[in-house]
This record gives sequence, C-alpha cells and structure tokens, in this order.
Amino acid sequence: MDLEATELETLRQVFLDDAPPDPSPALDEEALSRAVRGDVELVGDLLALFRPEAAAALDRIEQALSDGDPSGAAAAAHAIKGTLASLHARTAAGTAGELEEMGTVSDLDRWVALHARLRVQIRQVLGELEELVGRMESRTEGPT
Amino acid sequence: MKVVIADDDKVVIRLLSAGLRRSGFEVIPAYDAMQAIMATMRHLPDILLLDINMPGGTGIEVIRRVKASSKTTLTPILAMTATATALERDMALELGAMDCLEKPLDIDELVLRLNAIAA
Repeated sequence: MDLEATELETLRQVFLDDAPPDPSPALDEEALSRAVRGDVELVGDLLALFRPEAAAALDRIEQALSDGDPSGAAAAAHAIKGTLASLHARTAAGTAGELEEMGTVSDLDRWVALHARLRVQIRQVLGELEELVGRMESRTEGPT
Repeated sequence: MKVVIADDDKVVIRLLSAGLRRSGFEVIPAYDAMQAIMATMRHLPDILLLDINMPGGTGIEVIRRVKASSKTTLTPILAMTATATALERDMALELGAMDCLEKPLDIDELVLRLNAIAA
C-alpha cells in the first residue's frame, strides 16, 4: 500500500505536532548511572552514538510506513528497541516494541501514532541524556 | 581474559566494553557477523559474547561457523538477545552456545558469569 505523501504528512502533523511530552522520566537514570559507574565520558559517547542511530531508525520507520513495508518498519523498530533498552529508556523501548509487533500497516492511524509517540519519547531520552552529561560534568569539575 | 563482543548495536558494545574493561577484561568489538567470525578466528578469545539477533539472522550463522572450525570449536559462546524467539534460542543452544542472556545485560552479573566460565 503506497500512501500519498500529503496524507502521511497530515497524519504525522495530527499526531506529532500535538503530542505532549510524557511527564514521567524517559530514562531510568539510577540504572544507567549504575551501568556507567559515573563515567561521564562514557555517557557522552553513548549520547553521540545514540543520536544518529535514533534519527536513522525514525526515518527508516517513516519511510517503511510510506512504502507500506511492515517488515522494514519492524526491523528498524527492533533495532532501536534494543538500543533504548540498553540505555534503560524502558517506556520508549516499549513503544518501539509495540511498533515491531504491529506487523501490518492495515491500521495506519495506529502506526502513525506509535511512530509519533516514539519520536517524542526519543527526543525526551536525548534531552535527559544531555542533562545527565551536564550534571556529571559539573560534578566532575566541582565548585569553582 | 579476552572477550569478543559481537553486536550490530554500537551503544551496546560501548556499554559492555566499558564495563568489562573496568573489570580487567580485554575486549575486542565486532559490529557484524563477518567481523565476529574474523575476530574469533584471529584473536581466539576466551569467550564470544554474541547478539543472535543481528540483521538477517546472522548471529546464528556465527555460532555455526565458529563451532565448525577446529580452531574455535571449543570457544565458549554466550548468546544474548532482546527478542529472540524460542526457536532462535533453542537453535543457538543446539548449535553450541552455553546460554542465551536477556538484554539489557547487567554488567555485574555478566562479569560474574564470564569469570565462572573462565574458572
């Protein structure tokens, strides 16, 4: 099923532009901090690795959605789900898991809604990772 | 102890590598199936930590190749996965993986596990 670009764009705007950020934390910061043992350089590296991977995965999902390619979307969702789980971003990992399990593009509204939700959640994860790096750096530098 | 970590997810490799290096392991990263096979043949690690859900089901193929080579047939393999099916897990174990670990891996538990295998 090929979607008209305008139809897809309209749906995306409906779901994406109005999607409010989730008020609860996107990252389990305690679990992530435990995993990185306070290594600020490591968290910075994770952020640098995650940013392009997340953008690419969202683009692949969107492309697959417009091409009517559920297996392509599922593969992209699967890949980013693993990354999110490793970063202890459970809510976003759950959304990616829902996308992965859809397996069909018949329910277009749901596909688009999940994709939009994942985009918002990933934006939150990135923001919280940036904040975490900032806080860790300021702790490392100490008071001036 | 030398460990090859094979995963197409760079975030996972960076996280696990950092944790294992902190605990004194030598880590050789491999980002796809071909690199995993090459690194295992070349470095003869004490353990291969392998994502079996790499694109195209290639993790399973890595186990098959590593176990088929006389050089590496005894190399212990720990499979890991976020979402392998029961069939994939069974296949990994049947082909010779020691266990199939659930992602995300807890680094402390992983270190204990690797030390136990090496002991």
